[in-house]
Amino acid sequence: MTSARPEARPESAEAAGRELARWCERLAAWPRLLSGLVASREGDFLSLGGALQEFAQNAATLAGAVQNLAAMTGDTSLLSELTRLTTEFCESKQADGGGSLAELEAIKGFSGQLLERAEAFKRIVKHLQMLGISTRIESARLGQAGAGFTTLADDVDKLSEHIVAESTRIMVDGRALEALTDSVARTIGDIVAGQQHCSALVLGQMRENLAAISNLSERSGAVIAGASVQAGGISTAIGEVVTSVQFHDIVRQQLEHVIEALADMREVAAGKTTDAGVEAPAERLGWLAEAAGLQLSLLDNARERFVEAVESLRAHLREVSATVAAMTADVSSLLDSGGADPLQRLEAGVGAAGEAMAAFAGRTGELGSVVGQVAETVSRMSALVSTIEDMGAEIELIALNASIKAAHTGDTGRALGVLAQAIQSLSGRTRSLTDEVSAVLLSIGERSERLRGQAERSLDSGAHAAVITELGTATARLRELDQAAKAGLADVRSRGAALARVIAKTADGIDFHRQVAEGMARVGRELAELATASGPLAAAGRDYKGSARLAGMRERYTMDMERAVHAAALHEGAGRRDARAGGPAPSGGGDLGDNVELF
Amino acid sequence: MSQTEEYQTNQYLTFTLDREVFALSIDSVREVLELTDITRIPRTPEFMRGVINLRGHAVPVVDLRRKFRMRVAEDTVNTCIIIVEVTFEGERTIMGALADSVREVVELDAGEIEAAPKMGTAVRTEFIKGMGKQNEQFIIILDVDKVFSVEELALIQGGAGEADDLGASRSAA
Repeated sequence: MTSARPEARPESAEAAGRELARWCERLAAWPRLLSGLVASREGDFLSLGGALQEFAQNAATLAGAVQNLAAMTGDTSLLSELTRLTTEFCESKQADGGGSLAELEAIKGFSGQLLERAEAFKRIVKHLQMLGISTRIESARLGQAGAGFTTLADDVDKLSEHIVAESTRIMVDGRALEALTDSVARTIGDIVAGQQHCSALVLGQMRENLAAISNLSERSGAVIAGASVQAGGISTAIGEVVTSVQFHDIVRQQLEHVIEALADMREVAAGKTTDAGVEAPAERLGWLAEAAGLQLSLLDNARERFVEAVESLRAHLREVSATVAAMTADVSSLLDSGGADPLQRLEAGVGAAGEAMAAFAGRTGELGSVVGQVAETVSRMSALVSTIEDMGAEIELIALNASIKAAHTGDTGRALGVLAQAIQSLSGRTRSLTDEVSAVLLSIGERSERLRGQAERSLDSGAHAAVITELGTATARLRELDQAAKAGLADVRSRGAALARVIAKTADGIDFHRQVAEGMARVGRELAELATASGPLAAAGRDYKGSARLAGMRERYTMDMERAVHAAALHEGAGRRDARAGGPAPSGGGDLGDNVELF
Repeated sequence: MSQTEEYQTNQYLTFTLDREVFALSIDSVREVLELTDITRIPRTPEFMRGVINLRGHAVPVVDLRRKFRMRVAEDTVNTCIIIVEVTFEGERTIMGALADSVREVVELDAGEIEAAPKMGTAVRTEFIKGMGKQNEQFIIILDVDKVFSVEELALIQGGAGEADDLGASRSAA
């Protein structure tokens, strides 16, 4: 075939033959090298794809976990329940004691009145004793006529003793009642003070802690809500990365096209073709140089795009890793902020309230027994009422008999008549006094019944205990929730940290693209070298760009970008760089303005 | 007691029976006692409640409600015994009269006392000495010697005798 060109000089022909032989040899070697490049990295691609799939799954799981957390921490119903119960407890605590104290004050006032009446009885007794003495003197003066008055004086004396005894009992019981009411008042005062202390301290603390927990939960809610959004974003970002891995297929296709073109070139180098104008070795060399330029453009374009794609994937992965790490750090901050403290204090508060309740129940038991004593004293005093009434009747009778005896004695008994009248008026005072004592005792009885009722009501701590139990239950539920949230946070933290680590590691570990790019660059360099070497030997003044074989190569392209590079290389000569520059946007209308007919 | 006989008084002891006010001349009243234990005597009329021990003497007690055939009522804390002197066969006898309650010793002038009405009173006219008035309220003044008929007093006398024996045996014991 080389001999078909008679005008070539024999030494040039020889050199051209040698060049063609070199072409043949290299064109046989390059396809193997290029296909080997992709084939050898197939495993890397696959494992990257697998890793990305795994990331996507892990990111989805993480997002799910964070969403669960958000749902868990977003529910504030338990906190409001706790707040409500605390308020209820505080309010239910206040009422006690006041009513009992009012009853006690009244009882104390009545027992004071009773003591006053007892004093009045003393005065009556003194009066009676004086009357008794006067009666004896007068009857002695009258002799036989006043004999009946001695029995009257005896009756008066007996009555005086009786009144002294009864009024002493009233005094003693009244004093006892006073002491008892003081004791009850002190006990109630202690209990009320204790309650107030308990309310102020324990419940104040509980409120404070609840507020702290509430704040904490709000903050956690905000952080977790943010994390939830971030986690969703991570999933999406990883999804995008996964889809971007298709650059692998693109570069493989591009290389396949180059390899096929190289096979074409080898046909030409071996002289197995009979294309018009590409027959002589010099012509073949010229064509080969042109074709090499085209392939170099394609190879460069594929290499640069490949490296760019992989680098951008790495950058993207690093970004994702950073996002995951930031989210994990946010979530971790919740774990490290010591959220357990207020809850622990709250639990302690509920416990203390329970203990205070128990102590309170003890004190109210004590109170109950003292109030029982009050009631006992009052009922004993009530028994005095009938005795006192008897006394009143007795004194009236004595006065009546004095009148009768005075009437019998006639004028000589006038003085005795005056004494009888004095006794009668005393009987009137005694009667009104006993009526008053009866009334006071009745009032004391009523009040002590009411006091007993009050004390029993304050003894009935069932409602308070129930609230405490509810508080305990709610706190326990809060604790459970807190533990679940903590477990969730820890889970998110470990998952997030692991994901961030493995993504970053994967991003750092990607270097196969350098080897692939290196291989492609080597083939490109060799192609350029050979084309440069063939230049002087090529038939000058020819335009190989119009070669049908070169045009035919275009038919193999599957991507617009390849067509664009092809067009740039063949129609614009030095457009290789431009085509490359336009490469990342092959479908851009502006760049391809004059290549439209190729599409 | 002989001095009291000579001394004419216009004082009366008032008492109640079923919401009606009665009076006895203070001359016939010895004293008033609180209701005490009354020992029942067999074979005596219903109005005879029994005898009481008055400073060692057995004194028969007549239930005036029953005697006047008034509604019978339970004894109360106010129920008391009025000790009176009645003349029986020229002899003075001590007796007790059970009243719902005693009120007071009042003075009634003879001019204020009217004759007993022929009808419309709770008790038989022959028992009534006259009608007094105090604070717009009528007071039935009883004739103590007539309240207890001869026969009844005879019965009582017998019973009282027994009671006297009883009292004597008691004091002996």
